[in-house]
Amino acid sequence: MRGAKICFFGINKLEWKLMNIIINGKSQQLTSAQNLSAIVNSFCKQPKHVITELNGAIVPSDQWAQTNLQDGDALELVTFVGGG
Amino acid sequence: MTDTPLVIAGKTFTSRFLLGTGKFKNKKDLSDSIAACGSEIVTVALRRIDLERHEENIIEYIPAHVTLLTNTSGARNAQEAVRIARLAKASGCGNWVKIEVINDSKYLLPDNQETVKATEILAAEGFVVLPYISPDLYTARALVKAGAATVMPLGSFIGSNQGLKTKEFIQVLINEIDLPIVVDAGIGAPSQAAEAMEMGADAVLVNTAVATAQNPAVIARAFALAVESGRLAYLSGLPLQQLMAKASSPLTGFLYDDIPAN
Repeated sequence: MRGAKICFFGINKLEWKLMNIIINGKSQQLTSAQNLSAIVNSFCKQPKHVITELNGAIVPSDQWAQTNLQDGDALELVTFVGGG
Repeated sequence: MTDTPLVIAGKTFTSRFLLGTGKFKNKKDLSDSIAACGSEIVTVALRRIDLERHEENIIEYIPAHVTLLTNTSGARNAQEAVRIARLAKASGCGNWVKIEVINDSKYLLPDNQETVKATEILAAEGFVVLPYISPDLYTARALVKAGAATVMPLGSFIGSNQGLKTKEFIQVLINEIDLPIVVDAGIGAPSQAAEAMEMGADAVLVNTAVATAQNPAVIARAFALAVESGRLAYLSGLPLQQLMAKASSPLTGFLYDDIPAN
């Protein structure tokens, strides 16, 4: 979340608020608010057949663009691998 | 002799050989093996994406006509299996799921009770559920009631290549359960696959024995032929085993009337 903060002494100061989210169990810092579509495309080297679960709830791919991430969110990015 | 096709959840299959996709050295071996054995149902798993590495998308190596069967490997209880199945469905790659619940890291035996629970939930949600179990009649009956599409008993420990150590118990399921019986896990050689089919199993699923062979595509073909051969033998009305010897040639001496007595 990017926000402007007015300093107490009358000097305007821009403060860039970093956002922390947990992706696949690891803490990641985002410098700006991003929707799920942007996250999938920047973090997944192979975005096809990626399935997302945000705070325990599945987000279908047609809702990624409208889903904005919040500070503290936990995101799981999963996909298919070989298995018997 | 004409065979009736394998039907699972209303879908018809010509091949009775299911292939798992784990442990292949490379994706070319996998796609060559699928082509060589003609499997129409192929299992895959779901995992967290490794954000550091570029991994090839396994789905691209599976032909579009093949039914994807996502397993719930990694699930330790029914709840986790349900979560994995729902994630798989959200991919848009179908709603066929192999329930695999394992919470023992030494023997990797499936937890039958949790498997029944997961099957109840997922079948009610419209999934096509193929549960993997230790062969047990009561569990299999509970799975029928829960809405399973097949029952998949293990032949021996997963990945062990030991063959049909649970043969008699699988035979009970074949005799008593009115669902396709797919023998899964432990089948290490085409002869063992043929043996399962001769007993009257409806299909077999193999992964390790194909993926870890020196030439996976060749053994995949061998498995497909063995499954076909075993199926034909079953349909032929395989004669029963006998305790005593019975001559195959006429029971007379060569030149004389009687076989000389000792």
